[in-house]
Amino acid sequence: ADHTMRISHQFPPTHHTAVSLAQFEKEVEAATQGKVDVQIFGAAQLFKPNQNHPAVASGKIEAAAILSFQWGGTIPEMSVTIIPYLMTSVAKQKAFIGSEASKLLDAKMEARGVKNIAWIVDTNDGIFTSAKKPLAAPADFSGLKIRGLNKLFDAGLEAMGASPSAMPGSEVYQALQTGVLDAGFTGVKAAYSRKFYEIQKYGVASNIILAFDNLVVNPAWWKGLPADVRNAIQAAADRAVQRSIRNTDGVPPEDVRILNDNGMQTIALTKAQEKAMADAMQPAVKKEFLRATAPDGVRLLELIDRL
Amino acid sequence: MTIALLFAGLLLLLFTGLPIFAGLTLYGGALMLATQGEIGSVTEVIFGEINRYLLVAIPLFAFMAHVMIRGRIVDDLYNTAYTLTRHLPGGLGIATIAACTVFAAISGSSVATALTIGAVAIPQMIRFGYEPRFAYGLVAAGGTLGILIPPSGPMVLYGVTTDTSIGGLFMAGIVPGLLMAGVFVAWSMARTAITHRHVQRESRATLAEAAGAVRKALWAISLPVFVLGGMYAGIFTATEAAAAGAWLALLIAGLVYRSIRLRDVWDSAVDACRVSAMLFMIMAGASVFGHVLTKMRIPQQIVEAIIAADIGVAGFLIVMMALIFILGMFLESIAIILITTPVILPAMIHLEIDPIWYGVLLVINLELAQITPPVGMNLFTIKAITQAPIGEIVRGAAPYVLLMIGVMALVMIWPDIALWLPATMRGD
Amino acid sequence: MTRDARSPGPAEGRALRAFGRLVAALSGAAMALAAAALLVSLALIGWAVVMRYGFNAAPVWVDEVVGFALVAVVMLAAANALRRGEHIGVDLLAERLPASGRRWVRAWSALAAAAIALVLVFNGWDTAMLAKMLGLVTEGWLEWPTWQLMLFMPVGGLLLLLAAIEALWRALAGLPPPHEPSHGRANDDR
Ligand code: NA
Ligand code: NA
Repeated sequence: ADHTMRISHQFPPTHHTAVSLAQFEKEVEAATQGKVDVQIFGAAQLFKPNQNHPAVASGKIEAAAILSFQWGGTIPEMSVTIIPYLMTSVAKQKAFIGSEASKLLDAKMEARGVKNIAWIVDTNDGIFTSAKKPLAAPADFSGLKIRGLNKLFDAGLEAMGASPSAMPGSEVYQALQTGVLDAGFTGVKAAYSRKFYEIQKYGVASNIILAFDNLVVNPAWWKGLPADVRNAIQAAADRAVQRSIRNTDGVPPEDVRILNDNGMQTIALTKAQEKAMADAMQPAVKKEFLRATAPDGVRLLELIDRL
Repeated sequence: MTIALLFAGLLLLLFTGLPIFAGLTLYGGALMLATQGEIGSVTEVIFGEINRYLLVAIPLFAFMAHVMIRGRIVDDLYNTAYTLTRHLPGGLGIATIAACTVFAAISGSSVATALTIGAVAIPQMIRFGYEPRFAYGLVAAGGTLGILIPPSGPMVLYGVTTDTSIGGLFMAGIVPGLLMAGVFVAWSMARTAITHRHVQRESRATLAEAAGAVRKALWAISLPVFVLGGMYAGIFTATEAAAAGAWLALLIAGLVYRSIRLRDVWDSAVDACRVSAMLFMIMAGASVFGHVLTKMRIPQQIVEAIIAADIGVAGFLIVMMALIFILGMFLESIAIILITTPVILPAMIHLEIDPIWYGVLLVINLELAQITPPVGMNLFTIKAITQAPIGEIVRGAAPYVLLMIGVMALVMIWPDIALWLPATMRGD
Repeated sequence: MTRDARSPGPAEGRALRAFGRLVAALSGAAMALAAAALLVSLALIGWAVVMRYGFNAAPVWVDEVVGFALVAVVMLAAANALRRGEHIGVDLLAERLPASGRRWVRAWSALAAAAIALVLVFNGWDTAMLAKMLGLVTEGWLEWPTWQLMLFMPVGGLLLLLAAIEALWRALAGLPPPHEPSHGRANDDR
């Protein structure tokens, strides 16, 4: 092969993005008649999630798939998609990809030394899991010890009176089991694959956040590729994005059912319940977001409002 | 062939006697330079390896052990153990394995277990007339129970990497862990009966003697009870348990025994830092070597060859376990999980191998990795505690390599040893 | 190594003695910082548990700080560990060599440690500067600039380099190592 494209990511092999990237590998190698050798290093075997960015920017590998809110304080604007209930509908999601808002974020990543070539949807839902009572309304969160998502999202949990914990992910399962924590938050599919139903009695799911897995590449490498090769890679990346977009609103009923079948009493919030949660969480989260991102954050929120 | 040469090269380098951390990092860096044309990621990998909150359990448990030793809490503990077991062959050996088993229920790490129990037990076993080599091997092997008996750091990492139930893995480790402890006890009794005739065996302690001995060590015994209780009552996490244990040791030594001064606290912290720096530098070196192997796609190539050979479930498992055993001679458990598991998962799914069962086999194999030379973290831990020649420790641990392979074979032949308990808990 | 250490051997030159004192002072000070970092971690974790369990108010930054402290512990204590001969090697070969041969093993070991020290200094510096250029901050609540933590690597590397030079110098001069390993026994220096 003339070119090697080493892709690092953190997802377990069964995760839909890992599966989709395996498909991407086949498509790229076929479309370029083997001129590009795609090598995927999944499940954080080569770099830890927070090492992917410097590894790609410095050219130690050519590409990585990075969870959009993994950027944290490095690009705080990237966390706009996890402002609760802001842009999780199918319509907004579709309108966002390729929009001025997404281009603004592409530029932010470019300024940090990596070029984004795909907004692959990771999830547009989330589930609060708990042991004592379902967490369906803001008042239910009062006084709970909960493992949230990150600093930004946790501002919304604090606004509802919860006490968020920043414990490392690998300790969360046991902490929920023994009761060090009262409640947790994760993706609905992840609640099943990570077996949260074994340790938590209740689940409350809704389209609360949107998360992307951005496929980022080293800019110099990307520029140095022959145009036909670059186009073939971009086309395969675009197809990965198309595969990832959800086409119906709401939490997939089968994802809720399988949790119920496994003994976790799981409900999906109604529109009215979602609104109550949004009203409770959004102001605090937006405030925290703007604290870290103004003035670009203001513009970004305007752009997203208009989608 | 190339791959065999690769490992042989490292073996040769390490046998020249340079510090292990330097050997692993040098070799990994040289390989990176030769195959990638740069050493750019070396310190990135090292930083990622040592900047891990979960690892703080190791210095904290080391600190706890030193406080217990300097506070002379352990003397009482071992006098009690001696009183209770003095009529049995290998009595203190049994007590030491029991201590390892209890400590394994607190700690998720082999090194932390070997470090804590070893610092306490080895001088005491030698004091009571046991051959040093026997004590080294016993604690090196007993310490590995730390990752098989829950909680277990490697099980969490494997569970996260494969989306396997961490609770299920923990459950599945209990019976094999106790079986392993039982095998160690049986071996220790048999061996002492044959070779340690000089170790005095006295008459069984009377009930009054036993009660008196237990009363004397009550505070020391209460420490693991409080830590275990606090962990399962949801007061603190598995990592915080190390800090809880250290605080308890400080309180017992300071308030009950009144046997420790501020100077001792400081010296304990210095000792804990020194041994942790030594161990973490080796882990960092091993992760550099593992990183390069992954980047060269060596695990990938080996596993692809195994899958292509199409040798069925049993064949696949045996070959995989042999491969991990070899990797285990050179690498550390975290690196082994990260570089092998993602590559073999598709094959496991295809062959319908129960991921919990495989996880237990893997963890037993990772226990082996702790005591197989040239890179065995528990061997180094014992070395750090005792300053004994490494060959002496390796020889002491050698019988346990065979015993562990035996237990691994049993779990391979009868998966229910591992799977029965999680299935029962689920109500299947 | 033990026999070698006990033999009287040639006398220590003035330059070497002065250099040895400098290295001892620097690595001792670094070790004191490491021990303090460990004790602070112990205090912080204990406090976090009490706050979370007792007052339902978990401090969100403790785990992050403890992760940083661990980097400091390892990097600041590594040089002192080298001076005290605590960095373990496979001693099967050295055991079989006469005293003169062991000297060469010690020199080679010091050289290897110096090589890693140089990697920590230069590559560690580059890694830190890359992180600075990319504007990386730590994950979690503090969002601390990552490069500042990474500077522990070149700093630790520099200390390790000094200790390795001292070890090499002593080995070549036919002198015993500055310390016998003393783990688990009382600390006679810092
Ligand atoms: Na354990
Ligand atoms: Na090993």
